[in-house]
Amino acid sequence: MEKILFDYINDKINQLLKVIGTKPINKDDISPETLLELDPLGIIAETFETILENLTEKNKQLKIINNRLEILLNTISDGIYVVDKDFNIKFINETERKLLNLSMEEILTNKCYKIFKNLTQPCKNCFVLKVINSKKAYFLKTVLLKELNFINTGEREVVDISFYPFEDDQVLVYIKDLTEIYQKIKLINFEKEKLLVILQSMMEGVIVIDNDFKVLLINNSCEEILEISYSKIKDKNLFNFFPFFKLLFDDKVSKVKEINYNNKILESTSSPIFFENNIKGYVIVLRDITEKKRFQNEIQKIEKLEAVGLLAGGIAHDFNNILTTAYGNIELCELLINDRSKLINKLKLIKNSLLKAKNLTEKLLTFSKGGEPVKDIVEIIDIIQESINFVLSGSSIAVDYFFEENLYNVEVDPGQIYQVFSNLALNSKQAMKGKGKIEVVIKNFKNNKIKIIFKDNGPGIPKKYLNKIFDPFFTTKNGNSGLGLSIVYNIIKKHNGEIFVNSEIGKGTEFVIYLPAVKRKIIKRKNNILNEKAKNHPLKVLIMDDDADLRKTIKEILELKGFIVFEASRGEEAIEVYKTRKIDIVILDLTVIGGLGGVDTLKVLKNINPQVKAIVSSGYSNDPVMSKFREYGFVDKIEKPFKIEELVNLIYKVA
Amino acid sequence: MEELNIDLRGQVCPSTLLQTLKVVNKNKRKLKNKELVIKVLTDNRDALTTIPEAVEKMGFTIISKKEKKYYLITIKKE
Repeated sequence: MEKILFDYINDKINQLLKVIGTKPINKDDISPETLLELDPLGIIAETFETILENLTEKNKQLKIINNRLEILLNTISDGIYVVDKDFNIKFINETERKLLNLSMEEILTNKCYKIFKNLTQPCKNCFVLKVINSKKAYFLKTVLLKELNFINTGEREVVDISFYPFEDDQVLVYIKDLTEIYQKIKLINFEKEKLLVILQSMMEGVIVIDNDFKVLLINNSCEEILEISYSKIKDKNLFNFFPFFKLLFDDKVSKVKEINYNNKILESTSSPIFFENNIKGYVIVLRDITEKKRFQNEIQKIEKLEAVGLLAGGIAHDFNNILTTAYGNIELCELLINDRSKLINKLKLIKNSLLKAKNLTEKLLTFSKGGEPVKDIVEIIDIIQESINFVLSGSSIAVDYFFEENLYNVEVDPGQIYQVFSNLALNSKQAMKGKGKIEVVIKNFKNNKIKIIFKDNGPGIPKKYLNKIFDPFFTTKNGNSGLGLSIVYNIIKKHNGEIFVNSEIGKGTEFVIYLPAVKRKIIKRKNNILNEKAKNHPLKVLIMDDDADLRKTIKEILELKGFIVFEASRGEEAIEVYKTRKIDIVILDLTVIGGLGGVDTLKVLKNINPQVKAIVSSGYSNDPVMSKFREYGFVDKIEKPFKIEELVNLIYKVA
Repeated sequence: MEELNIDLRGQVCPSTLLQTLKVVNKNKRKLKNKELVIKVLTDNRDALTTIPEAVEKMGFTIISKKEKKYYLITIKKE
């Protein structure tokens, strides 16, 4: 019995040893005592316990992994399912199930072709079978589900479908939804198409280049303007064809540049294409402005003609008035030839009319291009005061003057400056309706300038007019020429000065004028001393002028004033007289028809007597000789028409 | 880490395996807690297959290495 039991235990031990993978015990080699000592059953039991513990642990871990896997599969936005060779769906993730909008039971009890395509038999060309047979993966890229006859597409339109071989003749199908991206691409394509249509229908030429100035695109208008086809210039360096475009990249700031090309005037700009903070290329826009330029020139010509017409009309009107007065009074003089006192009165009226005519032509010359200022260093304060006071006399406008002591000297045309301030005063007078206050401040300013502020407390100029008031013919008053302030502006500009206007409605208007100052001193007039001198030693004056009547008139008047006067009709004649008589002063007409003029005559006279004192006279005050008489050797100048008094004073001044 | 050496040189199967399993079972807590490494010295070639087969089922890792006249089998928890 013991033997049987021992054999049995030994057998079972060997059976267990085999289970754990080792060799059996040969019962003849081992005694029962040794066996008990070795305790194989105990060791194996404990080993099984450890193995069991290990397996339980592993199972737990597997469950966790399984759980995680399920969550992962159900939360990804792509559909996943597994089909077997009999078209049964073995697994489907929640994403796909929800998209199909079917219960798990419906899915698991139906064939795939029924679920997806509502077919009664497998699709021809079944990918599941292909994968099972070939054991290779298949991919359908960017397919439209509708084109594949899917009935249950959810919101999907476009997908990638991948078929992978799976365990046990099964296939894993992975459906990636591309609908959103596809819709965005569609939108981008639409935008692209829209932009292309805009680009091609534009009148402007457009060139798109990359950073190396390689042409990426030109539109139809550009092809026309530059007379080149897109295919010819595509991918080529733009500058190889049209080097003038380099102009656009000379400056860092994009500016409009004018380009002449093939008898066309083109206007062009370039703008960088910024993408992700880098310049990726440039867009050049060009316009054919040939017609526009031509049109502008025409308009300018017409405007000029209109201006001249207006001006001529205005002048003619004023001139007629003056002539009428003069003519009428001359007629009256004829009748009153024996009534001396009345005659003098009428002559005064004639004189005044002619003075007005003179002022009018002066105005005209200032406005014309050639009205160069005939500059002299003068007491500008006197001129300003005189002009403003004259305009405002008889009105209820008070003027306050503030002058800086030791005011810098200025070299100006006294007549023109007179005109500036009489125009300003006239405007203020009209604006203030004859009542109010004017303030004039004259002071030294930095950079060797003087600053003149002319300020009134009138109604002010509306803001919308402020940038127009200096334009010729701009006026808000009926019956005004609109030339006043434009003349002011022209005069100040011609004196290298600046003029600004500030105005506030209800408070008044302020003009600020800057004029350059000079270092030279004012030449003091010595009339009185010379007057005395003249009485003792009569001055000998030679008048050269081709106008005989003028010569005669001047001669008679000057003789009355105590001068000894000689006449000459041409330069040649004047030279002869000068040689034989001891002449003190020569008055030379600038231009003589058919003879030597003032400048050439003086050259000869200078040879005879380098100290010759010659005054140039002319009706062309814009002639450079008149404005720069000193450079031509004259001691002074007198503009025709002149008052006899002016001439007399001048003779005394230079003698 | 603690190290326990068992010298089973001269012993044959199944004794080699049983001796090893006995030590492993006795020290399984320490092994699991990675406080101990057991090194078995054996010259029995069969042990190179029997010991890993059983011990790995118990959830431990085996590294076998051939020294000059014996094999060194290291048992530990990964």
